[in-house]
Amino acid sequence: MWSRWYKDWGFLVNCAAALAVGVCLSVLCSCATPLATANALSASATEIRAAAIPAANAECTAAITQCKASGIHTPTDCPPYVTCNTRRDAVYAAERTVHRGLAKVRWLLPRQELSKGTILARIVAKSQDALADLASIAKQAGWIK
Amino acid sequence: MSAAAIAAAVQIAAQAYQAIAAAVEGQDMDPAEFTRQVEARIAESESAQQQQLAKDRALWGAVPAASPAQPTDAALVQARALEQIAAAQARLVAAIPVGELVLPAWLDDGALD
Repeated sequence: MWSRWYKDWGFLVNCAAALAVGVCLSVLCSCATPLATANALSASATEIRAAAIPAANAECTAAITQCKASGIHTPTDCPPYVTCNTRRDAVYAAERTVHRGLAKVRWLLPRQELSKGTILARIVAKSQDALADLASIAKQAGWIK
Repeated sequence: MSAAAIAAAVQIAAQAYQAIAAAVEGQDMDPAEFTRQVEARIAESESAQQQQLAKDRALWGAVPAASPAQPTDAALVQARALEQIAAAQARLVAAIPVGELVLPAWLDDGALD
């Protein structure tokens, strides 16, 4: 009786099973883990900083040249340089915040605290904010497009 | 194919995915090595920043009292202090052995940098 039933419906059952496996795999693949997200954020932070800093350095150097030409020889008395340097510092600081977020996520992973998921999410969110700040500052300064 | 066989196939697929994901993400990497690699990224960022500031100082000439490496306002001073605290915290927690079940207070009280 089983073999007859299987002969009639086996193909459909196999298709359903294959579909179920496919769905489960796609769900698993679509759920990026906090570590994967933190890794991606860290890589992006390095990438954006590396893209922005050459333009930042050029701007700061131009500011120094401009101020010295107009008789200003002290960095803190040179507004264009202060602005440029403050933004550049902020870019570097944001990048390092993202990297430290990755270190924290990796540190928490093997531990079994009940609230770990929430904390990981908060760390990742903080890293995302820092990366957004980094990109925002660099774009606002015209250092990246 | 029985329900048990389907469940087993799904479980095997999930385990395979988790193993691949762990390898790709570095989850299976030695925690100390992982921390070392992240610290290397941070050190590279700090080094690049300091090198450029040194070049700026050279362009300005000798200005030790008002070096451009110094903070330019109170907000920047505070930001740098917080950054140094966060770095110290990261080094501290990295030194705690894996298996420690007590969550560090600085991670649990909203004091995330």
